[in-house]
Amino acid sequence: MSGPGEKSLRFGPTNGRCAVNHPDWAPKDIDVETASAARLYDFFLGGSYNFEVDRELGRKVAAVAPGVFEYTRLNRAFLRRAVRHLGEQGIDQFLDIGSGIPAAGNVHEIAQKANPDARVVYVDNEPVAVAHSELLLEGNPNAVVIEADLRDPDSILRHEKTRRLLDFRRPIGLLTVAVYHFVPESDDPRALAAAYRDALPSGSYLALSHGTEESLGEQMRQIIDLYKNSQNPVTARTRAQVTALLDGFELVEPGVVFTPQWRPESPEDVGENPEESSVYAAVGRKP
Amino acid sequence: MTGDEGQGGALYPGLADLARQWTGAVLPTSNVPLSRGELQVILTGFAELLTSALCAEEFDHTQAAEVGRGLVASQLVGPKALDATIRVLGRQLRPAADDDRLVDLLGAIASGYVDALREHIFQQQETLKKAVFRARDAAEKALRASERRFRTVFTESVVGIAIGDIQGHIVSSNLAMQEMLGYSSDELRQRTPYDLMPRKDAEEVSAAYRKLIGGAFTSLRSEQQMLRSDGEPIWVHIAVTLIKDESGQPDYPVVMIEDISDLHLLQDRWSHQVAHDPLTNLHNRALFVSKVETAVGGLAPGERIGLACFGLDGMSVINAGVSDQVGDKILKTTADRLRAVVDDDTGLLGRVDGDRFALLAVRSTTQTMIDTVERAMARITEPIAAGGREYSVTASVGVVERAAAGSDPAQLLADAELAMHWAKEDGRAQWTLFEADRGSRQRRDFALAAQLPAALRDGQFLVEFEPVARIGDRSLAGFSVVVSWDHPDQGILSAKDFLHLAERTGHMLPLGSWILRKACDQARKWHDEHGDRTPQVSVALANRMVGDQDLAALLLTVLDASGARADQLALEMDHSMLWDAEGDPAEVLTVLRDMGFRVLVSGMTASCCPHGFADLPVHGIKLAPEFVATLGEDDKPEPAAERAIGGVVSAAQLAELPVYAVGVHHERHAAALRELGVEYGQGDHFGPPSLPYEVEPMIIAGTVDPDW
Repeated sequence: MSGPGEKSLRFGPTNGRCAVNHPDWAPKDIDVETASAARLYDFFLGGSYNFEVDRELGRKVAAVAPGVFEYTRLNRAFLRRAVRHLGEQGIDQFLDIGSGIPAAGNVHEIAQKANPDARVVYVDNEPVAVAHSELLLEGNPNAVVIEADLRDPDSILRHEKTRRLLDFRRPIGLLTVAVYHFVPESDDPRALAAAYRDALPSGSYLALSHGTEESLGEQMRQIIDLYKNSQNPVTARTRAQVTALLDGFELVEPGVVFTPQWRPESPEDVGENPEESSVYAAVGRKP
Repeated sequence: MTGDEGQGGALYPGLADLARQWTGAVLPTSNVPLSRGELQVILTGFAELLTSALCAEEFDHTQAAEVGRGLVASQLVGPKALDATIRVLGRQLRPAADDDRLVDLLGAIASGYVDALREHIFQQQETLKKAVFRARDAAEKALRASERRFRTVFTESVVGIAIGDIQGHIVSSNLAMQEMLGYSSDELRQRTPYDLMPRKDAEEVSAAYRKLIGGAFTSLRSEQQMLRSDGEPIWVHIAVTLIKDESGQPDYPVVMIEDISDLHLLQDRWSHQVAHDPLTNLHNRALFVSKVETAVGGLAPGERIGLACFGLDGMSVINAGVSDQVGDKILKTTADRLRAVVDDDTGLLGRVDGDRFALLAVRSTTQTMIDTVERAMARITEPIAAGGREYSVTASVGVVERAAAGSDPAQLLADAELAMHWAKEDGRAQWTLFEADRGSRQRRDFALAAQLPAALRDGQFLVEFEPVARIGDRSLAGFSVVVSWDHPDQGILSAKDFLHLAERTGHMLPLGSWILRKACDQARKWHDEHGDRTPQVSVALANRMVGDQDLAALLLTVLDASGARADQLALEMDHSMLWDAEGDPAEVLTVLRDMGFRVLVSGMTASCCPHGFADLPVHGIKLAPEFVATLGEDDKPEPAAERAIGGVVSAAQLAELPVYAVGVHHERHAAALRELGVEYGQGDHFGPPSLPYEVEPMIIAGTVDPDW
């Protein structure tokens, strides 16, 4: 899933390519003709790292769901607060899967502001997002990006760069923000979540956010429809399904809530209708 | 942003409120990586700058423009960020400012903001372009590498690979596929893999392929036959994999076939190595015999078959005395030469033993067979260069030639080998035709030799005692131990029928030990019974025993077990064993003397001169029975024989050795021998070999003619 690390909904899955028929050594296409979730996310955040094809789809999404800019920003803000919170708990190494296109408030910027030695491994499956991240991270010894897919845990966990930068004997902050909704049920997201959980040492944290239809059903369904035209189709999930992805983690207060409700920095940030963010957020600690 | 914060605060008491409202208005417009409080601190600073600009004597738009730029720097770049800023500032600052000044201020902010935003967007688009270029570059490199890899796999693979269209027609094939099936690329292009299969298989595979396209499974594999362009069937592993397009729909199939005929070839190769002699690459014995069997079976009644066995002469000497490498070279060369004389259609070669080759010819006659053998022998004797020298080897050849009908292949080979032994015995470097009579006699001998150990175990041997008399008065001088074999099928066999077999086949030591034990036991019994009247018991030692290092130990053991004394026994040894290879007296003589045995030298004929025996620790000589037999059967004297015997006797007398004659069957022989000075005799004339109880009266009577 060309899933950028944190974006509201990374709609649009891989372009339906059958992984079985795709040998490891065959390169992925660079597809700038089809909207990608990573660039849509950037568009919704107000960024300019996108193409007309992305903006066109983005405007359609905004037409049915004018709040999409807000949801995206709220999700990004949740990521920022979650990373800060983890930093306060002593976490100084992060694995950010589905990191997307760099944008203001990247994980390494937030984490390294608090602790200059903090280490970050970004993971994305979209080649342009990865190339972009490489440009941004040039000269930063404590942050790297690898091109890999959430659905192949081994390719991430055993990657040489991952092993080099992260110490799996010490707690790690795993960030899967707005990425699991690009994983269809057929890829068994719970089994994937369990695989990552099992690889983490005790004391590690998982920060996760995930799109849902439970608050703005019709609007979300229209968004899902629109994302079918992108590289990254979306699977919305219920609160219970999202909670299940945190199996084996102790939920940090306030549990699974809408993004603005997760440890807001000031009361005004929550707003009057937090459920309209349409994205659940949660942080858990592996006991 | 060089505004004086203190002054600003004083000028505009509502500064904090302005900043709070401003923050609340712009925060939702953009992705700002800051908390509300953090942003508010920044905007408070901007507000101070702006208020100080409003109140300045002379308006300086640069400060306001700087604030506009600062907003962009703070990531307030959302579409509505400027709008929200103008609204808040316009409303909040109007009460404290001149309208023109306020419009100038807001204009300057907007101008600075737009400048900075344009730059921000240009930078981002530039970065995006770089990122896309970088990603494409990487992807293209990877693609090229991947295509190279695929092309290499496709072209270089020993596996046949073809890419088809969805109907299954071959679109592109690699060389391995073309070679395997014997079609050119173009010829394959007009076909499907099923066209190249036997009909039944084709239906099966094409049904499976339809299931594959239908999505029932992702690939199919099978092991089956395909037909080459020349009609020859080959066995292949075939794997068909369906490649799907980006939407997951079946796109095209990839067919891979592996020729497992190679596997069979490998198996053939393996069995070849099992059945062939690796040095000469000829059939080994087992395969040769089985080929002979096939050849015999394929002949019509009345057709004949010939088999020759070539035994190289003296190969053991070359291998032991020169080197194995030279021996190997000679064997290889000989094999090649034999190949050259064999007609591939009617002939067959095998290496049936270390230095032994066999040649089979079908539809032969005795004459063609002998011609072939003589040609081969001539080739074999040509000098062979090996190890820097030239060697000449000869072959002794046994030839069998007979009607094919009813011939037992193993018997054919055995007969040829037997005839080859005859050729060797008769002086080597010649061929000998197999003769059934001679063959059956020898075969009987070999069969007997094979039965020896079991016969010994089963007690089929019998020890008898042949009386030895003084020829002059027929008084008893001793007993010669004689062994016979009570064979279950062939009746009583005498020593001359089997002892030489025992000697040749390595059974002499156990048999000889057994004879010694029996002799000693009997000698002790008689001594117990008859004391000094008991004559000496003499036992012939086979050459094999005389040469055995453990003879002394064996004799001691036997004496010990029987209780007999050495001086009660005489041991006979053949004259040929008296001297060792260097011509010195054999060590065994000293050993026997020291142990106390008397030693008689047996097998004496005219050619053995007993002159030299004087210095040896021996106690008599025994004339060979065939030497004695030269005296003739009838009553006619044989003066020449008498002179010959007389010469040997004279020499013995000079050495002070008594002479014994063996095989004395006639009165006339006895008389002649006595005349010639022979002291002792044994043979029918003095009594046949008999069981102990039968000869015991001789001991009591002291003569070979006991008075019953």
